[in-house]
Amino acid sequence: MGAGNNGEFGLEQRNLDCQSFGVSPQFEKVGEMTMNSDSFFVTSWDPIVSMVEDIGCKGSMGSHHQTDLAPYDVGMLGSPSHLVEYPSGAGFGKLTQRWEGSDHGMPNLEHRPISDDRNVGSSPTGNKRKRMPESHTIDSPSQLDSIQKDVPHAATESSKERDEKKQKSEQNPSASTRKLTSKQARDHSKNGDSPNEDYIHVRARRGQATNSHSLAERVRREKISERMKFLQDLVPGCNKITGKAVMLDEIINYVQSLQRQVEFLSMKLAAVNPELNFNIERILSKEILYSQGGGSAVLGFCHGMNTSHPDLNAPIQGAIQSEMGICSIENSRNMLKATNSQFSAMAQIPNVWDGELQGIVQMGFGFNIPPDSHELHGRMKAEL
Amino acid sequence: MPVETPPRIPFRKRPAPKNPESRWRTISQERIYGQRLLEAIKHARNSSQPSRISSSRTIKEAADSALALTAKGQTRWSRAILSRRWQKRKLWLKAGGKIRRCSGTRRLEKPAPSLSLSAAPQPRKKTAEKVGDRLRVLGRLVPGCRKLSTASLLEEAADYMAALEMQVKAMRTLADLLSATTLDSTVESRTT
Repeated sequence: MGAGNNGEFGLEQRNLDCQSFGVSPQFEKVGEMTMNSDSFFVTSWDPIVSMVEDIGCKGSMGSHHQTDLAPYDVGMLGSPSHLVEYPSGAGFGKLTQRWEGSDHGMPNLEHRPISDDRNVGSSPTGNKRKRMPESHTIDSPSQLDSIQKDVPHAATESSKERDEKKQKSEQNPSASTRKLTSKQARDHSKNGDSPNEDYIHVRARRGQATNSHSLAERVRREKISERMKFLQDLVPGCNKITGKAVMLDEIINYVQSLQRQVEFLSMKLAAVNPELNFNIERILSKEILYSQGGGSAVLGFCHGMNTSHPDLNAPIQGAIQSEMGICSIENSRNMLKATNSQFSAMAQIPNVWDGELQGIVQMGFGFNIPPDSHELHGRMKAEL
Repeated sequence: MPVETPPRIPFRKRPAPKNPESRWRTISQERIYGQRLLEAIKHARNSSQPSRISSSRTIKEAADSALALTAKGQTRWSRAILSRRWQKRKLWLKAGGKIRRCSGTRRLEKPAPSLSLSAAPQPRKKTAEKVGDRLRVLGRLVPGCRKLSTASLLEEAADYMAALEMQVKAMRTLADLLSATTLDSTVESRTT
């Protein structure tokens, strides 16, 4: 094992000896991440220590959510030069993790660079999970690798961070502004935490502010404008409207009108309801079955319409079939056959209202009734 | 067709939000809703006492509930509608049917929230406030979406709008059929 605790830990001097890292760095601010090693190796990193005690020099630190270091150990260990490079450029934005100068040596070695990386990975995103190239000068590709690798793991870091990032928890594939910063991040996120990867990686566009707040704001605004555009498509006649206020006006008017229509129609249905009871039989005997396309929908309706209506009046069937020649639409034939078979299982007289309703809807539903239906010889009528 | 009416809808983490267009504008959905609507109206007719005056509201509630059921509880407004319905039912059961219906006046019955009133006191309102006002109004219109963030509110509104369109279409078809039948029957009864 190494030579024991070194008070100074220039990272240049770092060796893979476990005990050389007697003191762990304390990462406080971005600006302090220089190679002045004293600032680094200060105090304890409790989680690491506890983990180390549990597991010893193993790579898997799954027990602690903050130190999900498993895959990186070997990789990190293998490249000390790697360690040398990355702190120089990387901003350790909001790192509050502490390192512990531990006697355990090797595990420390494993963890610290990894946690560094992880912190680094989390820091560029800070609370926002974004890459801010200006604020982090990443010198080497290996640094980038390490940082990118951390991204998916940082995702599983802490629930606290996750709460902070909840505002962007949607990963909307359709949004074009969300870009992963590198292929490696994408790959790793797929390998590692694809079910957990909710975060949106946004790259600051050229000429735009890179403050984390403004980036979040922009993401939010784009989400909202995307939804407004969708609403615009939904509301008829709003193609030319620009501006949120006017658009919202139209939306509100449309929703109100729809609701009023529902009320009106429900009143109408309530009014129509009781009257039909009296004239059911007559209707049954005289109504004509009529259909105009949408046969598949009606067929489906027929099949779905399975109620406790055993009988069918024979004359109705006769009426249906006689009228079939009149309304010679191909769909209707198929439909009528189906409905006939259905009808044969229907229509108790007492429950005729219900059956009629279903018959009516069978016929009429799924396609529009022409408003001038009165003029037609056959109409959409209930057939029971 | 089984109609699911659970007393409480478990809140699951919402799956990926579907496109409202694809959800509500397919014929199959219309069909499903139509069936549910029929059942609901039947049920309403049978269960509600004829002495109740505002049977139109019964029907409307039945239609809304059918619509919400068709939504499968994936949207907030549908859950709000269904939970409202079940709360009402519980109230009725508890009071032995003595609760007057008007106690359940819905906000929708109020005169439509007018924007002009809100703008009157300050003719020169900033655009952002106007947008905020309108968003609040929209939140009142969509059931169960009062205190919702802008993005989700817009999403719910889109889904709600598509669902309402389908509901109107279905009810209009039904009403037309029924009224046509009625007219026919009355005409025939007079002539015969």
